[in-house]
Amino acid sequence: MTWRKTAAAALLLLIIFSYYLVLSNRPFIENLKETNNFLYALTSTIIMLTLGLLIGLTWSLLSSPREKPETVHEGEESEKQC
Amino acid sequence: MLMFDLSMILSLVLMGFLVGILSGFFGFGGGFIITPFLFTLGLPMNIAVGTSIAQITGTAVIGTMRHRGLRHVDVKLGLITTAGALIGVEIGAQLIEYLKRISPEVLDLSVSVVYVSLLGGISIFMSLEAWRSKRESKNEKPRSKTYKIAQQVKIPPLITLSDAGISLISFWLIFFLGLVTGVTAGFVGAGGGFLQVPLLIYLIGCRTTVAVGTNLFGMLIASIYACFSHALKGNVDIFSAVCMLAGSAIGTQIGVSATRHVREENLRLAFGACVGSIALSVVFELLSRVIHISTLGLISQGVLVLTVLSLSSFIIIQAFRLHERFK
Repeated sequence: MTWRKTAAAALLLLIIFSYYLVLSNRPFIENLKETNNFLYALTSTIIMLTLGLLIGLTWSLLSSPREKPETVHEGEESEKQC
Repeated sequence: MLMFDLSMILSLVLMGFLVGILSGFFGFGGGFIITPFLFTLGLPMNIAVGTSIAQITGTAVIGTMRHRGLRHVDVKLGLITTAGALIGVEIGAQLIEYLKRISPEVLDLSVSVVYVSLLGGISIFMSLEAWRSKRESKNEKPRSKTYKIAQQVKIPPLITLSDAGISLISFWLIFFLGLVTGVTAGFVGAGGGFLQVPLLIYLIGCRTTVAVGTNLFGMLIASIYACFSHALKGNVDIFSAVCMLAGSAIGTQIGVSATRHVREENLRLAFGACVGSIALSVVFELLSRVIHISTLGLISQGVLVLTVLSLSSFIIIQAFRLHERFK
């Protein structure tokens, strides 16, 4: 469990650093929007995907193993028969 | 470009949080809430739409990863429906062009009638079905007449969807489902999640949670393309999108976690209520345009805000109950 928490903490730092990078480079990115549309589109898409992936991965590491799919709510058994 | 101050950032984060909850729980993007919100903040409509799609891309990644962890995503099902939807969107767009050539009034009327009828119909059908299941206390997959008819379709190739728990179903049936969703999305301009989730449940026979997770996965693929395309046209304000993503990072987790605790028929009931409220809001909005009474427009926005707040509260309570149970 310790490695999961350590990895999650590292990812959290990476997310904060990514946010810092994006927000501190706002003038540069805005300038890109004016000068090179393709690069701006690529940058925007990559930013959203990277942040989404990092956040998603952090939550996956933080989620307790008790929350795995087997431990679902009552009545689930009937639904698994299909 | 928006001028950012603390209150602006906080309102963007809060909106992202609320939309994230709904997105994780119901499996749709939430563009119908974000776009008007960004518009009222002062962004032009084209940038509000593009920014909303960029935010949906990030939220869909988070939601899909979490749903995948809970085995709520059937990748094969998601890819086939998305392939069908991409073709369907083009057909829907061509239909719009055809009606526009006949008359813009006919186009407006057709789109409005189809949109409201679909939302209303889905809401009533799902709510009644879920209510009946709830009363009979049977927490099982709904078996509608359409499902039984769909199962008669045995056009090869037949495929197995292991994650959705479906053995031997016609590839073409799933493709057709995606096509219908795409045509509707292209025609009415809405995401299509409100139609795809019920179709996956009642036609294919998916569990509600799998329908939600798979729909979110399909939306992720479509939104990556849409985000790139809108950004290319300069329609994305990436900073607003990033601020909203910070809120939805937490909201989505709450929404997805709540799907594990809530009973399937309650999830369908909430979905029906949500779609019904959107239908009501659209009706008020249309009426305000037709009879030119601005109060109706305000009522429309009020209904939307009330829906978001009440459903988010319901989902937070469900997630909290799950947390208490695991304590």
